[in-house]
Amino acid sequence: MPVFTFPLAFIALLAVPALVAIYWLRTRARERHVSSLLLWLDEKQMWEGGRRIHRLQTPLLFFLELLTILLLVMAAAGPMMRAGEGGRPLVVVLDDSFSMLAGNEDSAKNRAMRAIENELRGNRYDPVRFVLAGESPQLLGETTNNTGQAIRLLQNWRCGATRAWLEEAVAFAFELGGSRARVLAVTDHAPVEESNDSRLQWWAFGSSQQNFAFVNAARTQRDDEDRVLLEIANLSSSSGATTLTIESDDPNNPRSAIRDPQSIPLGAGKAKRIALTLKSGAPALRARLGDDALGVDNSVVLLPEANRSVRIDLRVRDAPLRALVEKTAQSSQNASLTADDPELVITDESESNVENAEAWTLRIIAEKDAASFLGPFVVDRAHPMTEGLSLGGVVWGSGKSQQLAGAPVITAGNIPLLADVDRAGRHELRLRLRPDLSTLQESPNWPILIWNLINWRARAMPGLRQANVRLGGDATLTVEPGVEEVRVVDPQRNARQLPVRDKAVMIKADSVGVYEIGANQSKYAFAANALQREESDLAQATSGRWGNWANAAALQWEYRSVAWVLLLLAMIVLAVHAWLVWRRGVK
Amino acid sequence: MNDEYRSYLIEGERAGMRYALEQPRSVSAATAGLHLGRHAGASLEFRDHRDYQPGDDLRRIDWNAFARSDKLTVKLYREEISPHLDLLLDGSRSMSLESSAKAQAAIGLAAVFAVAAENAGYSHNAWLARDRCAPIANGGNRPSLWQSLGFDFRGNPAEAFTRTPPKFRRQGMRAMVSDLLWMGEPLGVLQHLAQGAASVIVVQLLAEADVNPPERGRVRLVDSETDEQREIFIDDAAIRRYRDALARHQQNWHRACRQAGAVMVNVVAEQIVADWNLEALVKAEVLKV
Repeated sequence: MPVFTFPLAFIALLAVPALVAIYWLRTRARERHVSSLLLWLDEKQMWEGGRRIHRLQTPLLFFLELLTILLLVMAAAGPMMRAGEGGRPLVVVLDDSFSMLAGNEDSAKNRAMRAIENELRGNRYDPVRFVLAGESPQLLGETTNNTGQAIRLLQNWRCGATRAWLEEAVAFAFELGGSRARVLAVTDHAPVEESNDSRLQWWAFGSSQQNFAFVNAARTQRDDEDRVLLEIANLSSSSGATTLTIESDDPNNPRSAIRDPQSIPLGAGKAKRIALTLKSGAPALRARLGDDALGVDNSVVLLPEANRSVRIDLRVRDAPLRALVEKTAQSSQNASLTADDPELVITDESESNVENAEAWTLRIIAEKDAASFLGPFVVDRAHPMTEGLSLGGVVWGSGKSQQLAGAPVITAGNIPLLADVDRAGRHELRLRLRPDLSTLQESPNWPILIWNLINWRARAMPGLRQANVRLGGDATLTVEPGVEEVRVVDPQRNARQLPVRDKAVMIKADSVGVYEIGANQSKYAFAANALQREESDLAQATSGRWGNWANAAALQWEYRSVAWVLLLLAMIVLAVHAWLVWRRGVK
Repeated sequence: MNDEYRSYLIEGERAGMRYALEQPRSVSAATAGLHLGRHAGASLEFRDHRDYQPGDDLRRIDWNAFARSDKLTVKLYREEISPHLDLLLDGSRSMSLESSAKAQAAIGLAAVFAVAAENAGYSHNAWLARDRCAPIANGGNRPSLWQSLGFDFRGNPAEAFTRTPPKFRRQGMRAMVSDLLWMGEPLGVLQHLAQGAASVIVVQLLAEADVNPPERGRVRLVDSETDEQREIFIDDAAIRRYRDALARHQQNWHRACRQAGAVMVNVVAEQIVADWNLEALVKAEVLKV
């Protein structure tokens, strides 16, 4: 079937009744009285006599003119015919966020799958690709030109992401598919603004529903106890209530600090925060809300954060400086001062024997030939030691030599003040400081500097940086030296091996639940929770379709204009018309 | 008879004052009548001899010549012509074609002939051919006194002429004013008309619409006599065909007139009534100024 790119041209069909009117008026017989019909006997009558009702006389010329009008109107309407039998590339962008699961069996995901299946079966596309729109665009399976295979690929669409960056995914789809490809974005909400790109269609299968969700959940260690914060939101336009159930894995004291299931009434769009206190290191805490439209955000698991205190050996001989460092280190909760198997050595000795091969060193150098520097200070902001530093107005007393081993981290002009030597992951830091010529130790920059050092060292120690991550986030595990591979078991109990690089491995939390990690003899675990208010908010979910592939810009790729054929036919008809008129004139 | 026709008669009568009926050529004045015809006839004026042919009147054999030459010859005498005009007016409906000056011209021409006859010293009588050929009331008087004129006959005047032949005066002149637009062989009518006539004048009076067919386009033609309708598409070709048919029709009449010894003149009504200049009749030596 031809497609018309300019259907407005069919208004010109009004010329048809105009033509009929012209013929009717022209062929309407005028009555003339003549003396006799004797001399008109040679003329053929327009019709045989005897009819009481005369129908419109339609000579051949009329039909030719009518045909010409129809051909010209159709040509003006921009008829396009499909060029060839080959299909057109299709890239389907799938909203991979967990809001697509809302509605259970009648979820946006299920409805979208049925619609995509119908589209694939009803039209010829070659090839078909799927792009998952999550935190970042991701290809789903291989490119296929088989409809059945494409439909089977859809079964791998899981909708586990906390965000769906559809715009990025659509842009990626255009890159992937090329200029001829059609792009179909499937989601549960309307586009922010309708695209002008005629190759894009946007299908939404969502529906606005009431949903209670955990929008925040955290567990922190403080003062020998674990503090738990839960934030529950009613993400709907009407008030309602849900039940909260909190459970603990602590076999010894299952109900310690745990409240009974309770009803949580919440107004429309309101949120409620619940704070709990647990014993330090208490096992996993599980909180669950009552069933509603979206299940994935109705439960959270909070694991205890691992204790990652850094053992610091202070070997500072200068008493004021030692007191300064000691006070600052003790103020950090992640540090313990001990000379036994230290992980960090802070010293002002020029040479210090460090037994632990993994221990880091901060060497404070107080040179005699020193000067006070007011700046300008050049700070390597990418270095972990400089996070949060603000050296404006600080007087830094330091040696004047331009020589200092290691990569400069902070310099006063071309005078290095802090340098870092990386020895295969073991860092040696050199800090040039004359406290008597400085105000650095009297400014907030000093505890920041020491805290940065301790925190940096703590993060480099084996173990998980975070025991609780948000769904879609990354859990980073630092492993013992010599570990080259870790075994990860996801919440669905699927195991996989991940290689270790630079003593660390990053695990993406793409499912809600507890991940277990084995690294040689060490065991670790972290929990992933769906805590994304925007995704849990189903108020803006809607259904609809936007965009039209069958417009002029899109048609030009797979359709070819046949207007020239119609124009050619019109010219032929006009030529026949002219010939008939000429022949009649000759007669 | 309506006043309109009366006014046409007066108009024609006035126009005819300028004309006199032309005498037939080669007619002697010394005859029993006032005019002699061109043909051999029964008058007393000797014209010629010719060999006897079976069927000739034995009374015309010149016995003296037979005695001298032993050869039968007959004497020929000039035909005697009566100074009378029988005027036959076509009374069919086509003579009063609507939107034309045909009726005005026909009545006027009849009046012209009557007055011209009077001017030439002829008596006259007017006839009207309708379902039968009947004399017009007061047709022997001045045209303005004629009565019961009308063009309402829906048939063929030739048939009426054949069916009820008028009692024309023998050896008189006869003039017929008609559009001649009927089917049939014209010679039959003309022979009836010419029988016993000294001369015959046929005036074909056509309307401008008869000469020039309707404008182009689809036209429903209505026969003014039979009301028969015919819907046709008129274009240049149709106009050409019509004019050809009219020309053939007129040629047939001209040919028949020649055979019957009649004089035929074609006139157009609208041109006649425009100024009553009857040049065509003068040229044909039917009238003289």
